[in-house]
Amino acid sequence: MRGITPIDELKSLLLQDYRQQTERDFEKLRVKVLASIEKLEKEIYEPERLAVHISKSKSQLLDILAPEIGKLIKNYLALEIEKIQKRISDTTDKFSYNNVKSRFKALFGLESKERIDLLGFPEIIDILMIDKDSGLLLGKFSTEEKIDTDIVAGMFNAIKSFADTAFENEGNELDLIHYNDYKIKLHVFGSIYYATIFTGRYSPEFQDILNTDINNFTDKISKELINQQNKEQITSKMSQLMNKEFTHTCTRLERRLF
Amino acid sequence: MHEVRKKIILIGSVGVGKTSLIRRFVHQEFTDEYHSTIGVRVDKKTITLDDTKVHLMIWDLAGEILQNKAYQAYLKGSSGIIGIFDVTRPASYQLINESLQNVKGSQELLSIMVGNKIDLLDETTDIHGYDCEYFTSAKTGENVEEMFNLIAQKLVKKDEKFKRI
Repeated sequence: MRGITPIDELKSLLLQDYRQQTERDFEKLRVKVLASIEKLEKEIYEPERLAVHISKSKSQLLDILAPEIGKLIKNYLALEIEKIQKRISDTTDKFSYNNVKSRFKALFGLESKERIDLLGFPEIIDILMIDKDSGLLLGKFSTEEKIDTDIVAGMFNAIKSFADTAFENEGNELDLIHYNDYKIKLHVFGSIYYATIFTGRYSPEFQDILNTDINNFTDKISKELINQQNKEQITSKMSQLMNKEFTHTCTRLERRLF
Repeated sequence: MHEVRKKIILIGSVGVGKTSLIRRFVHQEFTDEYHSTIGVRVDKKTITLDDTKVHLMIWDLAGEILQNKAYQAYLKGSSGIIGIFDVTRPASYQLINESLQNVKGSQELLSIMVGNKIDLLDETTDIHGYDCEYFTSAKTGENVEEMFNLIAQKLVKKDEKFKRI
């Protein structure tokens, strides 16, 4: 083990004053630091004093924080304004004159188009009476004069002929065609058939009304059809009869469904 | 004036110009672009003959349909049939001539044979060997109106004869 050397003893003697001064300075610094920490702690736990402090430094704080806060506020406001605008727009639509009008009309059966759109109630567009062999139009009832019923009758017949031939073995016959919002129901009676073009649901109630009225109408005109030697010339007469009969069907349909 | 509806059918091999003839007659149009007809296409043209308004329902049957079993179903209820061939393709004449004979044998139909595309003929081509009522050009419109009017007249006359009987 190494003992105290003469050099160590010399160092101790020469630096004794310096060491004592350093210790005194350190003690002073320690007291100052502790005092500052104590002061800071008090300010943190006493919000009013902190507020005063912040208030005094307000301008510096704003300089530092403003750009960042500005961006946040701007984004937040843009998002909120967008939400508000959408809510206003939705509310305006809901309570717009046209919307309220159509809802009332739909509910009280005044305008069938809107009613169908909203509630899926059936609406008859056309009823075509078609010769089963030739596809020639024998009569028509139309609520809208939108389509060339002669061509439509011909095309139905082409589709029907194709479908009936293709599925001949199963003994099936084309019954209901779906086309976009439209449906076409076929009722076959011997040498003629009816194609009812409608929108909305093919509900049991609608089926009942349509079947009954088409059956009744066919009973009424069957003698006329049998006696008619040339079916190619009966279209306008048959259309008049269909118009009378199926206008009544549409009225009944509306009354029953509301 | 009374109205009558008549179904007439156009048959012929692929590409003889059936659809083009109908387009020329119904819409007064012609295009060089070729689009094959899929299945059946129905068109309508109304013409007035004396005191009769005739609604001609013209069925354009795709060339391939001659081999289809639905073909007979499309012929049902038709009053007239027009067999079309391409004057530059003798094979199309043979085929439609035979088909037309078969159809005529099974139903009482008014039928006519029409040679189309006469605008493509050159001076050396001999068309005298073809037995047909009309030579037409859907491209120039030559004889197209006349051909359809003829069949409409024949159909109305047939009805009048039927009424007298």
